[in-house]
Amino acid sequence: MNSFDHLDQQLRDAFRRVEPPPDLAARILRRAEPRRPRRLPRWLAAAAAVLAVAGGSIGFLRWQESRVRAREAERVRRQLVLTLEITSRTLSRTEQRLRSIGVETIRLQEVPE
Amino acid sequence: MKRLLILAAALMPLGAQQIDFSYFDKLAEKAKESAIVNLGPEQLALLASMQSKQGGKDLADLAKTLKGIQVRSLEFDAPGQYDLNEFRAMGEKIKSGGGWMPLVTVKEKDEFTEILIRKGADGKGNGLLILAAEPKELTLVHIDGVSDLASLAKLGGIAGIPEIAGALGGARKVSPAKSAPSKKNDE
Repeated sequence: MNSFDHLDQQLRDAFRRVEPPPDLAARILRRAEPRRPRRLPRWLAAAAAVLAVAGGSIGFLRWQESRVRAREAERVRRQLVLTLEITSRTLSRTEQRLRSIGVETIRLQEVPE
Repeated sequence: MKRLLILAAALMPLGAQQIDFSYFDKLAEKAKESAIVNLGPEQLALLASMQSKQGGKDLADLAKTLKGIQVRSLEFDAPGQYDLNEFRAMGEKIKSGGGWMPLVTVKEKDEFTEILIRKGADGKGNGLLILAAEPKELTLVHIDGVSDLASLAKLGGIAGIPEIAGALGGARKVSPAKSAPSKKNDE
Protein backbone atom coordinates (compact mmCIF):
# COMPACT_ATOMS: atom_id res chain seq x y z
CA MET A 1 0.00 0.00 0.00
CA ASN A 2 1.47 3.25 -1.09
CA SER A 3 0.99 6.47 0.71
CA PHE A 4 -1.82 7.51 -1.59
CA ASP A 5 -3.82 4.40 -0.77
CA HIS A 6 -3.21 5.00 2.89
CA LEU A 7 -4.58 8.55 2.69
CA ASP A 8 -7.52 7.31 0.70
CA GLN A 9 -8.31 4.76 3.37
CA GLN A 10 -8.08 7.38 6.09
CA LEU A 11 -10.47 9.65 4.23
CA ARG A 12 -12.91 6.80 3.70
CA ASP A 13 -12.84 6.05 7.41
CA ALA A 14 -13.34 9.68 8.27
CA PHE A 15 -16.29 10.14 5.94
CA ARG A 16 -17.95 6.85 6.83
CA ARG A 17 -21.53 7.36 7.96
CA VAL A 18 -21.90 6.81 11.65
CA GLU A 19 -25.37 6.52 13.15
CA PRO A 20 -25.94 8.93 16.11
CA PRO A 21 -26.97 7.43 19.48
CA PRO A 22 -30.75 7.01 19.68
CA ASP A 23 -31.19 9.50 22.62
CA LEU A 24 -29.02 12.22 21.10
CA ALA A 25 -31.93 14.39 20.03
CA ALA A 26 -33.58 14.15 23.42
CA ARG A 27 -30.32 14.95 25.17
CA ILE A 28 -29.77 18.02 22.99
CA LEU A 29 -33.31 19.22 23.54
CA ARG A 30 -32.98 18.70 27.28
CA ARG A 31 -29.82 20.76 27.40
CA ALA A 32 -31.38 23.48 25.35
CA GLU A 33 -34.23 23.92 27.85
CA PRO A 34 -33.87 26.78 30.38
CA ARG A 35 -32.83 25.50 33.79
CA ARG A 36 -35.64 25.45 36.34
CA PRO A 37 -34.82 26.32 39.95
CA ARG A 38 -34.52 23.40 42.28
CA ARG A 39 -37.75 22.68 44.10
CA LEU A 40 -37.80 22.32 47.89
CA PRO A 41 -38.68 18.92 49.15
CA ARG A 42 -42.34 18.77 50.05
CA TRP A 43 -41.73 18.03 53.73
CA LEU A 44 -39.47 21.07 54.00
CA ALA A 45 -42.03 23.30 52.36
CA ALA A 46 -44.73 21.97 54.70
CA ALA A 47 -42.51 22.48 57.75
CA ALA A 48 -41.74 26.05 56.65
CA ALA A 49 -45.45 26.74 56.20
CA VAL A 50 -46.25 25.33 59.65
CA LEU A 51 -43.49 27.43 61.20
CA ALA A 52 -44.70 30.56 59.45
CA VAL A 53 -48.29 30.01 60.61
CA ALA A 54 -47.18 29.20 64.17
CA GLY A 55 -44.88 32.22 64.30
CA GLY A 56 -47.60 34.45 62.95
CA SER A 57 -50.12 33.12 65.43
CA ILE A 58 -47.77 33.58 68.39
CA GLY A 59 -47.00 37.10 67.24
CA PHE A 60 -50.68 37.90 66.87
CA LEU A 61 -51.52 36.44 70.28
CA ARG A 62 -48.71 38.43 71.91
CA TRP A 63 -49.86 41.60 70.22
CA GLN A 64 -53.43 40.95 71.33
CA GLU A 65 -52.27 40.18 74.87
CA SER A 66 -50.26 43.39 75.02
CA ARG A 67 -53.31 45.32 73.83
CA VAL A 68 -55.47 43.75 76.56
CA ARG A 69 -52.78 44.56 79.15
CA ALA A 70 -52.52 48.14 77.92
CA ARG A 71 -56.30 48.53 78.08
CA GLU A 72 -56.38 47.10 81.61
CA ALA A 73 -53.50 49.37 82.66
CA GLU A 74 -55.39 52.37 81.32
CA ARG A 75 -58.47 51.33 83.30
CA VAL A 76 -56.32 51.03 86.45
CA ARG A 77 -54.77 54.44 85.76
CA ARG A 78 -58.18 56.06 85.43
CA GLN A 79 -59.39 54.43 88.65
CA LEU A 80 -56.30 55.69 90.46
CA VAL A 81 -56.89 59.19 89.14
CA LEU A 82 -60.50 58.99 90.29
CA THR A 83 -59.45 57.73 93.73
CA LEU A 84 -56.95 60.52 94.18
CA GLU A 85 -59.42 63.12 92.96
CA ILE A 86 -62.20 61.97 95.30
CA THR A 87 -59.83 61.56 98.25
CA SER A 88 -58.23 64.92 97.62
CA ARG A 89 -61.58 66.66 97.24
CA THR A 90 -62.97 65.12 100.43
CA LEU A 91 -59.87 65.99 102.43
CA SER A 92 -59.87 69.53 101.08
CA ARG A 93 -63.45 70.04 102.22
CA THR A 94 -62.65 68.57 105.61
CA GLU A 95 -59.64 70.83 105.87
CA GLN A 96 -61.80 73.83 104.99
CA ARG A 97 -64.29 72.93 107.69
CA LEU A 98 -61.54 72.44 110.23
CA ARG A 99 -60.02 75.75 109.22
CA SER A 100 -63.34 77.43 109.73
CA ILE A 101 -63.26 76.31 113.36
CA GLY A 102 -59.66 77.36 113.84
CA VAL A 103 -57.72 74.23 112.92
CA GLU A 104 -54.95 75.16 110.53
CA THR A 105 -54.16 71.94 108.71
CA ILE A 106 -54.28 68.19 108.96
CA ARG A 107 -51.58 65.80 107.83
CA LEU A 108 -52.58 62.21 107.46
CA GLN A 109 -49.15 60.83 107.97
CA GLU A 110 -48.07 58.41 110.58
CA VAL A 111 -45.96 59.99 113.29
CA PRO A 112 -43.03 57.78 114.33
CA GLU A 113 -43.27 56.97 118.01
CA MET B 1 -70.90 20.72 112.70
CA LYS B 2 -67.92 21.35 114.95
CA ARG B 3 -65.66 21.58 111.90
CA LEU B 4 -68.02 24.07 110.34
CA LEU B 5 -67.92 26.26 113.43
CA ILE B 6 -64.13 26.16 113.50
CA LEU B 7 -64.02 27.14 109.82
CA ALA B 8 -66.48 29.97 110.43
CA ALA B 9 -64.40 31.21 113.36
CA ALA B 10 -61.26 31.08 111.23
CA LEU B 11 -62.91 33.08 108.49
CA MET B 12 -64.40 35.66 110.81
CA PRO B 13 -61.36 37.97 111.05
CA LEU B 14 -61.13 38.00 107.26
CA GLY B 15 -64.80 38.75 106.90
CA ALA B 16 -64.64 41.43 109.53
CA GLN B 17 -62.14 43.38 107.47
CA GLN B 18 -64.40 43.40 104.44
CA ILE B 19 -66.51 46.48 104.04
CA ASP B 20 -70.13 45.99 103.18
CA PHE B 21 -70.95 48.31 100.30
CA SER B 22 -74.57 47.24 100.01
CA TYR B 23 -75.69 50.57 101.47
CA PHE B 24 -74.01 52.38 98.57
CA ASP B 25 -75.26 49.84 96.04
CA LYS B 26 -78.81 50.44 97.27
CA LEU B 27 -78.48 54.22 96.95
CA ALA B 28 -76.68 54.15 93.60
CA GLU B 29 -80.01 53.98 91.78
CA LYS B 30 -81.04 57.34 93.22
CA ALA B 31 -77.72 59.03 92.50
CA LYS B 32 -77.13 61.46 89.68
CA GLU B 33 -73.54 60.31 89.43
CA SER B 34 -71.73 57.43 91.02
CA ALA B 35 -68.12 56.39 91.10
CA ILE B 36 -66.88 52.95 92.00
CA VAL B 37 -63.23 52.00 92.30
CA ASN B 38 -61.94 48.56 93.15
CA LEU B 39 -58.21 48.16 92.81
CA GLY B 40 -55.89 45.47 94.06
CA PRO B 41 -52.12 45.15 94.21
CA GLU B 42 -52.01 43.02 91.07
CA GLN B 43 -53.61 45.82 89.07
CA LEU B 44 -51.11 48.34 90.38
CA ALA B 45 -48.33 45.90 89.55
CA LEU B 46 -49.70 45.68 86.02
CA LEU B 47 -49.67 49.45 85.67
CA ALA B 48 -46.17 49.52 87.16
CA SER B 49 -44.93 47.05 84.58
CA MET B 50 -45.97 49.41 81.81
CA GLN B 51 -44.25 52.51 83.17
CA SER B 52 -40.80 53.93 82.82
CA LYS B 53 -38.13 53.05 85.40
CA GLN B 54 -38.76 55.51 88.25
CA GLY B 55 -42.53 55.73 87.85
CA GLY B 56 -42.73 51.96 87.62
CA LYS B 57 -40.61 51.60 90.75
CA ASP B 58 -42.81 53.92 92.81
CA LEU B 59 -45.91 52.10 91.67
CA ALA B 60 -44.33 48.69 92.27
CA ASP B 61 -43.31 49.78 95.78
CA LEU B 62 -46.87 50.86 96.47
CA ALA B 63 -48.24 47.63 95.03
CA LYS B 64 -46.10 45.67 97.52
CA THR B 65 -47.78 47.24 100.56
CA LEU B 66 -51.18 48.09 99.18
CA LYS B 67 -53.85 45.44 99.58
CA GLY B 68 -56.63 47.30 97.91
CA ILE B 69 -58.36 50.56 97.15
CA GLN B 70 -62.12 50.78 97.29
CA VAL B 71 -64.00 53.96 96.60
CA ARG B 72 -67.71 54.65 96.46
CA SER B 73 -68.94 58.13 95.71
CA LEU B 74 -72.51 59.12 95.06
CA GLU B 75 -73.79 62.51 93.98
CA PHE B 76 -77.48 63.34 94.21
CA ASP B 77 -79.62 65.92 92.48
CA ALA B 78 -81.18 67.17 95.67
CA PRO B 79 -80.69 66.84 99.41
CA GLY B 80 -82.62 64.28 101.40
CA GLN B 81 -81.95 61.34 99.15
CA TYR B 82 -80.33 59.33 101.92
CA ASP B 83 -80.61 58.96 105.67
CA LEU B 84 -77.60 60.44 107.43
CA ASN B 85 -78.23 58.25 110.48
CA GLU B 86 -78.09 55.14 108.30
CA PHE B 87 -74.77 56.30 106.87
CA ARG B 88 -73.45 56.92 110.37
CA ALA B 89 -74.66 53.51 111.42
CA MET B 90 -72.77 51.98 108.51
CA GLY B 91 -69.66 53.83 109.67
CA GLU B 92 -70.16 52.54 113.22
CA LYS B 93 -70.52 49.00 111.89
CA ILE B 94 -67.25 49.29 109.98
CA LYS B 95 -65.50 50.75 112.99
CA SER B 96 -66.70 48.02 115.31
CA GLY B 97 -65.51 45.26 113.00
CA GLY B 98 -62.09 46.32 111.81
CA GLY B 99 -60.18 47.95 114.64
CA TRP B 100 -60.54 51.44 113.24
CA MET B 101 -59.53 54.48 115.22
CA PRO B 102 -60.99 57.88 114.33
CA LEU B 103 -58.38 60.47 113.44
CA VAL B 104 -60.67 63.30 112.51
CA THR B 105 -64.39 63.59 112.96
CA VAL B 106 -66.33 66.60 111.79
CA LYS B 107 -70.05 66.66 112.50
CA GLU B 108 -72.37 69.40 111.41
CA LYS B 109 -76.11 69.68 111.13
CA ASP B 110 -76.52 67.69 107.94
CA GLU B 111 -72.92 66.81 107.21
CA PHE B 112 -70.51 64.32 108.58
CA THR B 113 -66.89 63.49 107.86
CA GLU B 114 -64.77 60.93 109.55
CA ILE B 115 -61.20 59.92 108.82
CA LEU B 116 -60.15 56.68 110.43
CA ILE B 117 -56.92 54.76 110.62
CA ARG B 118 -56.46 51.06 111.30
CA LYS B 119 -53.42 49.76 113.09
CA GLY B 120 -52.00 46.32 112.55
CA ALA B 121 -50.61 43.93 115.14
CA ASP B 122 -47.23 45.62 114.84
CA GLY B 123 -48.78 48.94 115.81
CA LYS B 124 -48.24 50.45 112.39
CA GLY B 125 -51.07 51.90 110.40
CA ASN B 126 -52.27 49.58 107.68
CA GLY B 127 -55.49 51.11 106.52
CA LEU B 128 -57.25 54.36 105.99
CA LEU B 129 -60.95 55.00 105.78
CA ILE B 130 -62.68 58.22 104.85
CA LEU B 131 -66.41 58.56 105.31
CA ALA B 132 -67.98 61.78 104.16
CA ALA B 133 -71.61 62.76 103.94
CA GLU B 134 -72.82 66.03 102.52
CA PRO B 135 -76.39 66.99 101.70
CA LYS B 136 -75.98 65.93 98.09
CA GLU B 137 -72.96 63.68 98.25
CA LEU B 138 -71.80 60.51 99.97
CA THR B 139 -68.21 59.30 99.84
CA LEU B 140 -66.36 56.30 101.16
CA VAL B 141 -62.66 55.78 100.51
CA HIS B 142 -60.99 52.67 101.85
CA ILE B 143 -57.27 52.25 101.35
CA ASP B 144 -56.15 48.90 102.68
CA GLY B 145 -52.49 48.34 103.45
CA VAL B 146 -51.43 51.97 103.44
CA SER B 147 -52.17 54.55 106.11
CA ASP B 148 -50.02 57.33 104.74
CA LEU B 149 -51.70 59.32 102.01
CA ALA B 150 -48.40 60.91 101.09
CA SER B 151 -47.37 57.58 99.55
CA LEU B 152 -50.44 57.77 97.33
CA ALA B 153 -49.63 61.37 96.50
CA LYS B 154 -46.30 60.17 95.10
CA LEU B 155 -48.26 58.69 92.23
CA GLY B 156 -48.86 62.20 90.91
CA GLY B 157 -47.02 62.61 87.66
CA ILE B 158 -46.74 58.86 87.04
CA ALA B 159 -48.69 57.38 84.16
CA GLY B 160 -50.43 60.67 83.49
CA ILE B 161 -51.89 60.85 87.00
CA PRO B 162 -52.28 64.52 87.90
CA GLU B 163 -50.29 66.01 90.74
CA ILE B 164 -52.71 66.51 93.62
CA ALA B 165 -50.27 66.13 96.46
CA GLY B 166 -51.39 69.28 98.29
CA ALA B 167 -54.54 67.90 99.79
CA LEU B 168 -53.03 64.47 100.35
CA GLY B 169 -50.28 65.75 102.59
CA GLY B 170 -47.46 65.10 100.16
CA ALA B 171 -46.59 68.72 99.57
CA ARG B 172 -47.65 70.52 102.67
CA LYS B 173 -45.09 70.65 105.43
CA VAL B 174 -46.09 71.77 108.90
CA SER B 175 -43.80 72.00 111.85
CA PRO B 176 -44.71 69.56 114.66
CA ALA B 177 -45.29 72.42 117.09
CA LYS B 178 -48.00 73.80 114.87
CA SER B 179 -49.43 70.58 113.59
CA ALA B 180 -49.78 68.89 116.98
CA PRO B 181 -52.69 70.99 118.30
CA SER B 182 -54.26 70.96 114.86
CA LYS B 183 -55.01 67.25 115.05
CA LYS B 184 -58.31 67.75 116.67
CA ASN B 185 -61.08 65.37 117.05
CA ASP B 186 -64.29 67.08 117.96
CA GLU B 187 -65.90 63.90 119.09
